[in-house]
Amino acid sequence: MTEFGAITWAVRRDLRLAMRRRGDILNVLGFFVLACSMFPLAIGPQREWLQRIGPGVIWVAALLSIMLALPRLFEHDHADGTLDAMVASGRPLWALIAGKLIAAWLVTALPLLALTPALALAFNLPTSSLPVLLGSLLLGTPVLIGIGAITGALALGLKSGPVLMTLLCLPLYVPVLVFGAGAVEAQAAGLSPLAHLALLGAGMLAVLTLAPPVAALALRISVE
Amino acid sequence: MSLGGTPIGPGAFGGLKASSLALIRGERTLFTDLSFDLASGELLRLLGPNGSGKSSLLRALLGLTPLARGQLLAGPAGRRLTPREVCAQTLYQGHAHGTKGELTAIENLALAAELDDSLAGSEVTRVLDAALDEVGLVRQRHIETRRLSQGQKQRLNLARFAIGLQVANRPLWLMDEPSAALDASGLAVLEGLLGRHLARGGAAIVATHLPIAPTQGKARELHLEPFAPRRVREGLAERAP
Repeated sequence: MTEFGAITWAVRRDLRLAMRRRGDILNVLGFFVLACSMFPLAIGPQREWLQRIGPGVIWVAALLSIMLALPRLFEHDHADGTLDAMVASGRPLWALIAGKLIAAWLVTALPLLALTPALALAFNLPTSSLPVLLGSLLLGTPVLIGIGAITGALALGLKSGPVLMTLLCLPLYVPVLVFGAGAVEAQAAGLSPLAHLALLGAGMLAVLTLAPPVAALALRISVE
Repeated sequence: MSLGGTPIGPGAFGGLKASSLALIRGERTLFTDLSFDLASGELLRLLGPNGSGKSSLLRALLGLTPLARGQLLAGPAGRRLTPREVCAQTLYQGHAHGTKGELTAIENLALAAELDDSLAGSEVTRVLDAALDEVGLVRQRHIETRRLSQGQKQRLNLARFAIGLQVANRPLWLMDEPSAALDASGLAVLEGLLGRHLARGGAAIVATHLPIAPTQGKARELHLEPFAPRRVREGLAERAP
């Protein structure tokens, strides 16, 4: 089995598992929609206010939704021994993790992206800002998942693992949030969102390269 | 229908030698200066009371738990093996069952065998069915494994080893309590698989409390002694009475 084989093995495995646990996907989506709809209730239905906070709210809700799903990335596999089996298989661990991350993006981030246009409508965002919002989420969500994988692997097996993971993750998520929501804001202000998107893209490339090997190292420590 | 076995030549597995292994878990020293040899066609029964470090030794051989000292060599006078190299030639069954409860028996088996790289060729379904048949799970093949009993899950693990017999890529079997929860006929399946594996030139280390007797091949025993626990108090290490 080559590296590519290991990646596709993990993608197929985790997608199949996700299909058996559709409730988990729906929980995350439900949280996303509900978190977004809390804000209009709290601050009132003034159109221009909603328009102003919309992108930021959608970004924060997407970020929290992904963080809600991330502790499961390695926890189940750790508990039932399949993570040990993966490490002991002698296959490149980074490739197996890369596959898991791709699957995690497909089952958690992609549905959020699909729902975003509806929420943008609810916040009365102009249609012209939708491509930038979606683009920023498309570039930013892999970063969120990659960082979450590293912290999740580090906090694996600890009693307060999920909480610790949240505390480790959130500060690292700040730049993603700033540039993600900032892209939409820049466009609304009549500026080019390209600088923000380019930085997000650079972050994505860095995380795509670094997250699998770093998470693999952290996992090897955690399974001891 | 029974699966055949692929012979393992001396080129694929020339034995394993462990010299002066030491393992420390937290404040406990599980063993120091543990040495053993394992030749092709041999089974090493790992015996010892609970907590003597049988599972930890198996994990340490694979690098899942770091060894404090010692090394693994390929053959009696071979070169030093890295944990990654040991993993690549090993079929390991750990203490946990290592199956996903949401997936069916055959799905779990297919995924495990693909990860082992023991499912080659176009006859995948036939091989999977034959392996499940051999361990007596063919009627449960489409049942989610969370609905299987402990013994049936253990049999599902054996099916993975039955498939492993087909290829020569993993000559070393490491099994942690494979007989736990198995009934008499399950134990016979395990002993038959081990026998065929030894007969084809493979080797195995099995942590067990039962006198597992492979149908063919040689079996030896390695006793792990309960090591006097060392306690660390106020920075000073002292031996417990």
